[in-house]
Amino acid sequence: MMNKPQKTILFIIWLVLMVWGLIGVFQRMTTGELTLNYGSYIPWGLWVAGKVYFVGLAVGASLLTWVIYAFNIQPLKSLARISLLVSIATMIAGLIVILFDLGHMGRLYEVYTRPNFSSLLAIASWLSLIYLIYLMIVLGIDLKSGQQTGNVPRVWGWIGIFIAIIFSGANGAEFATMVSSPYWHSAIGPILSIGGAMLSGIALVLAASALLDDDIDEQIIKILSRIVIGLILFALVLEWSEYSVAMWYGRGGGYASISSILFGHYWYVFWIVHLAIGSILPLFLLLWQPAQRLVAGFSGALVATTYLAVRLNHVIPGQITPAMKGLQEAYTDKWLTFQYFPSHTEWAVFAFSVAVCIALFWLGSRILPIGSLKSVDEGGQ
Amino acid sequence: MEMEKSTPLSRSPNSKKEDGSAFELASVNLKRRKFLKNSLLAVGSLGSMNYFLERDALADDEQKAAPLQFPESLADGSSLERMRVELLQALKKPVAERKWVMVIDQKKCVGCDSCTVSCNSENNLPPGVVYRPVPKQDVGRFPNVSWIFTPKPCMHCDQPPCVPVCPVKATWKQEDGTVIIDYDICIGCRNCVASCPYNSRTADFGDFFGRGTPEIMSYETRPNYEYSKDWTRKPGTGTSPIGNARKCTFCLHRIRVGMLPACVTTCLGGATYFGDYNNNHSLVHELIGTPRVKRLKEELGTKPSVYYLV
Repeated sequence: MMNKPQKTILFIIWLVLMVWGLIGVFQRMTTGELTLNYGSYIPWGLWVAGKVYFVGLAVGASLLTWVIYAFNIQPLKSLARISLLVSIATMIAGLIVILFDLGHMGRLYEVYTRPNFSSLLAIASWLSLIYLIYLMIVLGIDLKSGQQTGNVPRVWGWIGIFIAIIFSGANGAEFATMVSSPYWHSAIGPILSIGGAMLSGIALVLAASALLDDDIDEQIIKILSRIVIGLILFALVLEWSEYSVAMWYGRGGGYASISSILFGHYWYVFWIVHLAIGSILPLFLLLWQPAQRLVAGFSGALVATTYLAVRLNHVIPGQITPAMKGLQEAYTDKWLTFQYFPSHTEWAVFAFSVAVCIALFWLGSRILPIGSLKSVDEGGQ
Repeated sequence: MEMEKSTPLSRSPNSKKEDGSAFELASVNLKRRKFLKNSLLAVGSLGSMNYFLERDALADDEQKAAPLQFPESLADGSSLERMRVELLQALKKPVAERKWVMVIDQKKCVGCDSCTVSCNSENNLPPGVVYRPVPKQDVGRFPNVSWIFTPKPCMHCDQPPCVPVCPVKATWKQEDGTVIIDYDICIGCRNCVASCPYNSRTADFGDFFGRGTPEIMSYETRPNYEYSKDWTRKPGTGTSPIGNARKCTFCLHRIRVGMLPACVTTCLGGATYFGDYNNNHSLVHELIGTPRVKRLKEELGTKPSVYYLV
């Protein structure tokens, strides 16, 4: 489907991301945390949002596979392997970006050697490893089953659904259980996490299959498009539920955070990036041309990439309200502020994880018999 | 004034009998002869107290260091001295029988920030790390305006939200009520920092005040003695406590040698009190029993060990 100039452009974009990312990694490794913009009052920034974003993509993409296996959905079986590959690549990207977030990267192993299972972060860390291994095992089983993808016993699908929901729920609960932030401390948090994962992950599968898989059936594109339309609407309903409850009377704990999302300094992240470009435009495009590959793929890519805005709008605003009035002026320095915008290093390391994710996907699609993707690279030659 | 009655300078005769310490006898206006007699008693009591404390301290796993000897001139009957004596009394008890609490009288606080400064100095805190900021809030409308000062150390909650979230058990609540961090285990995920509803945990990002200048001054690379251990921050090394979450420890390293937390001893207005809540006759116990007492964000169920008198 892609011709040589298109491939060259994609390669240049990837190269820019990788080089920029390596600069960021170099900065992180040589200067520690000094070039970062998160601090003591906003301790979680782009990288934590990035982890949630990538894990969401991974869970969402793989959930599609689990459902295909569990319910033996024949028309979608050709999507199983590509979904698993997308899931593995994004999962690894999530682990990379969160590794750089640690103050002591060399102690990551402690999460696995001396875990505290009352901590949702520990649970999520264990589940991320288990999930990654599970994804690899199932992909191996699928690949072993022959040329026809999707021939995996149903039980693998059911177990996958079970782990995916617990994993994604734990990622949401990681924030929702914190009493420190009224915005986070919400029962809808884990549901939002699962809903967001399904939307962003399946949208990414739509983008990957529509744009990269030459042989994919138009009917499958149409089905995926409809699923994404439904999920966009479902996510918007969840969002409306979350935001309207806090905003209706303009009072309550989460009001300040949601108010800043909608009308604060970074209002455009919600209104333009997420709502206009990431929701309404793809919704319109998918309703207009659900079976047209380029349109559907582009729409899926829009939803999947801009979903980072939703993750940022969940992670950052939950930390912008001081514990008490006057704290922001009580003792100030670069690290003790309630304002945040990611630094160059943070963006660059995030770009690195994206570049790694793309490289893994490309390598996987070249080396492994993932549907017709292998022919993508060869097609242009 | 209800509060004034509870200070050691004007304690009831009954409470003197209950405590029976020589300090209290020296705390009222004594005549010369009585003063001399009581001073001798005070010296004797201090000496014997220190002897027993030292012996007990050695036997106690939690306190390796012995209480320091202080000049007798400190026995002036001030609330500060009373708290120190009560601290020594508490140190004689097993750790599990102590319950360290802090009381902050907001009417006495003048917002001078000396507690913040002394805490920074005591713990050699780098940029980004603050254990005891003093948020200042103006109230009222001109001409009836005023300030509310709320010194904010770690609350050492009885139900600390920061402890269960740690993925590697690097932070926990001790038997004496203090919440501490093991810098050698902490991975620097800052989950505890994000989970504290009081913004009382901060993170050490490895910064120095002298960064970007020709030289990082030696005071920045001097060790601090948190948790009675030598922690030296060296630029560019990334060794703990750099990369860790950090928080107020109630100056455990000082407590173990019989000294009050730095913020208590340097409080200009005498607004900060510290002691053992399990001692029914302690100053903090008295203060917590007054109607002015409150705790921050009690509705969260965190049960802070820091009380405010409003």
